[in-house]
Amino acid sequence: MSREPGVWFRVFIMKNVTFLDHTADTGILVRADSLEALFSTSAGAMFHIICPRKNHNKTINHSISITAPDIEQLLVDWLSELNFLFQTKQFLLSDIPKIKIDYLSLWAQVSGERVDFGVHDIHVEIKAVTYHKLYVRKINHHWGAQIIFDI
Amino acid sequence: MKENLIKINDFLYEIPKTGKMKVPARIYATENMLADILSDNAPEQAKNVACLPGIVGYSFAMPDMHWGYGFPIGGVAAFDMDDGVISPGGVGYDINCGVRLLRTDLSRKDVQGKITHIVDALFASIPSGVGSTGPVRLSAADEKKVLTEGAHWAVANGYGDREDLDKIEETGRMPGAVPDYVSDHALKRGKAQLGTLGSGNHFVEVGYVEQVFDEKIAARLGLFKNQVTVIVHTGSRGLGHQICDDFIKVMLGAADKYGIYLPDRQLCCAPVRSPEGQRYLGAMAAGVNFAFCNRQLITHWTREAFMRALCAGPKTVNMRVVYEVAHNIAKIEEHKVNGKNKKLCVHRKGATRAFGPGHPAVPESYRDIGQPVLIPGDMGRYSYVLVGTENAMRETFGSTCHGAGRVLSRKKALKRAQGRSLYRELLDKGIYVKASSKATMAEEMPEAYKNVSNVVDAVAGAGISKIVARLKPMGVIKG
Repeated sequence: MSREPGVWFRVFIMKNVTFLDHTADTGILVRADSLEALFSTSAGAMFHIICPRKNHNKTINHSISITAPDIEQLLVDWLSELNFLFQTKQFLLSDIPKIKIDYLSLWAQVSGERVDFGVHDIHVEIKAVTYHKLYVRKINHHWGAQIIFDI
Repeated sequence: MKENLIKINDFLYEIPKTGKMKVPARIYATENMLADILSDNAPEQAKNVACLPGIVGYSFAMPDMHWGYGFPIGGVAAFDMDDGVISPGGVGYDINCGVRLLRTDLSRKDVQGKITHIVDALFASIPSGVGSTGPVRLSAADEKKVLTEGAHWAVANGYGDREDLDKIEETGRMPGAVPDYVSDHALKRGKAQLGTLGSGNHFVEVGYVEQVFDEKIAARLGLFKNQVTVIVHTGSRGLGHQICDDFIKVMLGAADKYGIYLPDRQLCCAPVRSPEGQRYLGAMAAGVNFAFCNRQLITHWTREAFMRALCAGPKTVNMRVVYEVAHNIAKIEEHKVNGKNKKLCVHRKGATRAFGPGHPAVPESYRDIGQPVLIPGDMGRYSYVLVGTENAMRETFGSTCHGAGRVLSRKKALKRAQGRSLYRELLDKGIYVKASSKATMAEEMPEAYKNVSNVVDAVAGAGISKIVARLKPMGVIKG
């Protein structure tokens, strides 16, 4: 099926994410059917905060492998690693073709492109993914998370 | 919350000790500021800080306080060296975010009609905005030298004068930095970002001395009416952010290990003298030095931009450092507690050191007037120069406010900016702004901040700082 790169990702994000009002920073409330979808959507939402308007190509791939002592730490580490790729390699996330979470280990393949300042409207820099009011919870049959970013 | 507040005086309110609080919380504010302050989560955060082990006196919040993460922004907390803690969240992600004030020999009329040239030259010289990289190419060995030498590394490599260093907190080099405690991730984030402004609320502002409130002290600082000034506001960039991030993970484990109750995970901490605490202090000092060096490089390019834009030599511009303060930092300082001198670990997160006259940490040339305190406002109104007081030493461990403090969330600011040309509005007020992103311009709009005049009136009213001069912006570069 042909589709504009990244569009599905954006639509998916907007339906499952609430952007929170925080005085100095910004945050997200995310809802998803599975833990993998929760982590993918959180990542997409973080990149939506960084670069809200453009869709991205998938010319660069990275693999990420993380283990953490608890699920909240795993989410913080996952988002921090993606932010590190943005900060050091100017990587903009377009898609997460593969993601697997097995207990407290995560493996993912992510694809995207390098920032082109002539094309991409880069909105903000995320300094860090914070632990303030952070949660990852299973609510009935859904997963929910709240994350506040320092910007 | 309002019903629980006790009014101590017209500028100070107390939240009494309840639940797990070890000390009361104290908020510096005027009655008019309380509604905004209490509508935010910041007072709750000041209460949370009061629960941490070994906190001494009070958990303080300055009048520019607002909701942060863990500690409130505008928070000051001092901890006992023996049974107190050190918390990376009490310093913040942007370690040694701070403000440098530069003065020139130029007066307002010398730059009339030339502000656009100056601002354009600054924008071309100083990398700003998200993802910006600096022109300084650091080897791994040089980066580690920056982490131990701070602004001294910049001066030794031709960026500025030795004289600049005397007017920086810690003379631009915090002792105790241990680069080996800084992770590879942090070094990688820092490597390309040295000499960059960054985004968000960071800026370089060209202004002038609009009003002098204390002629004698202003003269000692080399300030006079209508003099052209420059404010540089930035910090330790990705290197500092990553150090904080790395050590929050360490401290989450440490809090568990030492049985420390955390009302918010972001407040994670370890005893000051523990191995975890000492490692953080070593890494934090490295981040502090990176920020000192960053502002020194930006100062050098600011001097060059002025000379280029005005076709003037260094003697004509004569740009000198008035002072530089750090407003996200933890320091080991000696203060009087119950009449006795005691070493404390003082956290200032969005708060400025404001040592009074006579303190040995104040540069010798300013020692009799007190430490200069630099309070930037929003880009449409004013910034202030103050000095620290004896009263600040007695009441707040020598601390005061750090800026105007946000009052609108970024989301609300963006909404309010819709359909308006903020660029035009500011230009009509005589302020030329060049920003890397339209969104930053909207988020940083003047009305997103409290009126800085009210904030400094509150700290001056409380006697924890003394107002010296007011600066008005003429041109700003934003990240």
